[in-house]
Amino acid sequence: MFSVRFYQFAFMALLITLGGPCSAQDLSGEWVGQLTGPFDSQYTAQYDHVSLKGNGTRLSGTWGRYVIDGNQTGAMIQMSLLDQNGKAAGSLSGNVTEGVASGSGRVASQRRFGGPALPPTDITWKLTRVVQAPATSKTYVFEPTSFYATYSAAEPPVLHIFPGDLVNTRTIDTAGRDAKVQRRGGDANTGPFYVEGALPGDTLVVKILKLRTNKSTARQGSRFNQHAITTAYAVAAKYDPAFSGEWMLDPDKGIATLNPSEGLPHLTVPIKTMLGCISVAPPGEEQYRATDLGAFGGNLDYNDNVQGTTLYFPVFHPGALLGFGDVHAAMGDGEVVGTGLETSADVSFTVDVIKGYATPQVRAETKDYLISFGVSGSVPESIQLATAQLADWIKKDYKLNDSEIALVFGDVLKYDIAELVDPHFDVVAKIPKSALATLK
Amino acid sequence: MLCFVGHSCFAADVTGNWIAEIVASGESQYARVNLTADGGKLSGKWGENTVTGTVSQDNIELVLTDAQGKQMGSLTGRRDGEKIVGTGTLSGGRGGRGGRIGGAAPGFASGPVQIGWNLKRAALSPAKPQLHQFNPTDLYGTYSGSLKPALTIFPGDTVRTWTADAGGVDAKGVRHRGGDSAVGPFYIEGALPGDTLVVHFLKIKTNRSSARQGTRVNPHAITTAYLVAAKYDPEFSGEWNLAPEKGVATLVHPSEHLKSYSVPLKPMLGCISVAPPGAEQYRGGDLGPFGGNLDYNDNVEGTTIYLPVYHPGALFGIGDGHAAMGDGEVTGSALETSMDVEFSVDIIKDDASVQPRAETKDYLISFGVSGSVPESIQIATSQLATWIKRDYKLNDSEVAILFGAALKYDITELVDAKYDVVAKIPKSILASMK
Repeated sequence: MFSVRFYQFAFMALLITLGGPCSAQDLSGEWVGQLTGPFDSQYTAQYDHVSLKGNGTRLSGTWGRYVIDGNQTGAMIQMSLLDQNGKAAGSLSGNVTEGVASGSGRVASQRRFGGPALPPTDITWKLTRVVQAPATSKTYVFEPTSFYATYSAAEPPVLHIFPGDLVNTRTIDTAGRDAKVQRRGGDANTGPFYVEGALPGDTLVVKILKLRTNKSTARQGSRFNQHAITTAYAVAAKYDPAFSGEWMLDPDKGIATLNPSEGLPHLTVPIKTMLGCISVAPPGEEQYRATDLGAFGGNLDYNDNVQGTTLYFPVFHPGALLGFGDVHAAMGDGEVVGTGLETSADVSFTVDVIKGYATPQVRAETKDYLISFGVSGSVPESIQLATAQLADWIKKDYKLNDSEIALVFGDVLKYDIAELVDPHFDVVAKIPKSALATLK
Repeated sequence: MLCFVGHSCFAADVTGNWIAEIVASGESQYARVNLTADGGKLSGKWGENTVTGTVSQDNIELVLTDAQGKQMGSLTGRRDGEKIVGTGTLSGGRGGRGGRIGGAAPGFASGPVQIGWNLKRAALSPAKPQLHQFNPTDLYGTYSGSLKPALTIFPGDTVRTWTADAGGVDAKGVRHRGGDSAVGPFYIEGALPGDTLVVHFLKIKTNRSSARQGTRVNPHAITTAYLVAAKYDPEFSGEWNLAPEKGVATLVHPSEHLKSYSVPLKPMLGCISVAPPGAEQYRGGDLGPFGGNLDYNDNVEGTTIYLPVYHPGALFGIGDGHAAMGDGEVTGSALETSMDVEFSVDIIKDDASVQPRAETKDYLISFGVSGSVPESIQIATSQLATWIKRDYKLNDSEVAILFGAALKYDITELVDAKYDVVAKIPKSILASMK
């Protein structure tokens, strides 16, 4: 194997041989920057939005949060990266060929919180042109032929879409029941959808435009999960092994009716169709089964993830890799019987990307609330994560100081216990938009 | 001759309703007793047991048997003024409620124990419910069964009173004892341990124009990283102006970004309690199965609260009014202010849940108070399930599926001595079940 440096050398030699300045390729425009190096066991590549402006031999622009100070001689590129204080944060050299620039260099290492200062990291780099969105947004009818049950960046995308595109598709229920496709159980998801332009550190915005149950039945568990009740209750409970747990759905009337039992001859609940699972690919090489949940979303099981809700995901991989499934026709808080009214649904959604900003975990917005999810290994920690993330978000967007946000939360904060029974716990902190409307 | 008259008078006297106090190992239990005298013979009920016995002159002898005909107790006593006082043996801990007499603890055989006992006439309610205008002169800051009642009332009675804020300041600005102090305690005639005290809040309204609120997030509500990074403004004012006619609160000294900020008023009582069990004593800011600083923002006008009774008369108290409060009381206090309060009381005899319950226009509600949020969730859910199962005649599978479809939780209290989570079920769903 010849090193990249060897090729650079060879190319330089070729240029010199040609003996004259070729007309320099104009590098101005938007690029995706990739740095590859031994950053961390599961982050061998870092991605940034790069914007370049060529002016004669001078190159300027931004590489993520760094400012570029560079020059271009023919196909050869030299770039210094400067941080916000103008301090050198890296130097890259390489060349451009066939619309792709690449090379090697070294960048300042990210200092871990509380950790020692690290020496600069040797890296290779690559710039590829941003894929241009078509002039007009597209509407897709996506008929899934397979479903995936592991959250992972290794899952190949089923469809590439651009911000602004609209996708009409469907889900199967959590047990994988569906008339049309091969059964794939365990909260199997539709997707993943590769969203062009989404890079790690961005936020993927997903608006659920339509969510409507597409079959006439739903199934539900009928035993309490042990996280939701006391041990004494669990020990004393006498469950009927023949209990049905099957519901009839009438979306036109908006109600679900339970298959009658002696004590519940007429139980009806309003249909409030929700997506139990909605996710992007988890960070690095992490892989989780579909019933799990985390900072990437997943089995959030929030009963306000309904038609009209907008979700905000931190992006961990290029394209984000959006997926969803596990539709519930209705669900009480905490999913205390381990399931909601499990069914399948037709789904329509659009996507957008907020570049260069991401929160640690998922957020959402409904007609009435701004919402922060807190997923962790315990309910108390989930409460703290949800509250802190919501406070940081509102502080930033409404330019509040710590005293102001504290006061507002003391007045009008609401919590929902979304998920008690899956591998992680999920608590939601939310703030009424009516209260925020009075803030300047 | 004198003796004969005395004899017959006492025998006739014994007929009627009594309250029994049973004492063993320094703990008291109580039971409702009904006796009928027929000549020298006695019959009736002692709690859940059947009573037979004899009465002659000032002496009384009673035998208690349970529903299966098993002898549960043998008591002898004599008249002592208005009371009957005696000793005896009692089994099973079923002769009364409020303690562990007779080894009622699970796993222990319930052998007979030596007891002391007395019977006191049950108080008779007035013909009509009374309206009491109660103007507190002193507030109390410790939940305890040893407190002297401030007012004695009967089931059906209504009380009009006021509360001070959590710091003890009343509507006129007079400072009383603070520390989440309470108005009361109110002694409810007829309430015994093992009963449920029912309190209907007919009115909870702010009665002054000012409130104060904390402006720092409590460590239980936020991550350590946030806490460490937070820069609080020491000059920041959490003083509020209350405008009940507009239904909103606004800041008295708003900071730049909060100039137009307003909060809808939703006056609630942070502290609602009965006296805690036995000799337990808790400061006003604490909470437990007896209620106390529950800090639930739906404990508002129109809400009915159900409290397990641990002492005769229940010893009910209220305080810690909030003009509005977010879930969890994350700033350690809400919009603390004083209130005008009107409530009526009732008793559900011989039935009590483990912790407080409530009912609003839309929900049946169960509180879960404990040392951790997860345990509070479990207690609240289990108590609600037990309640709904019984009242709606559901089996375990039925209540589970109902909860899986329609249960709601509220996190009410994160920042006090214990945690409080509410589980609730919409009445609209319950209405569909029948």
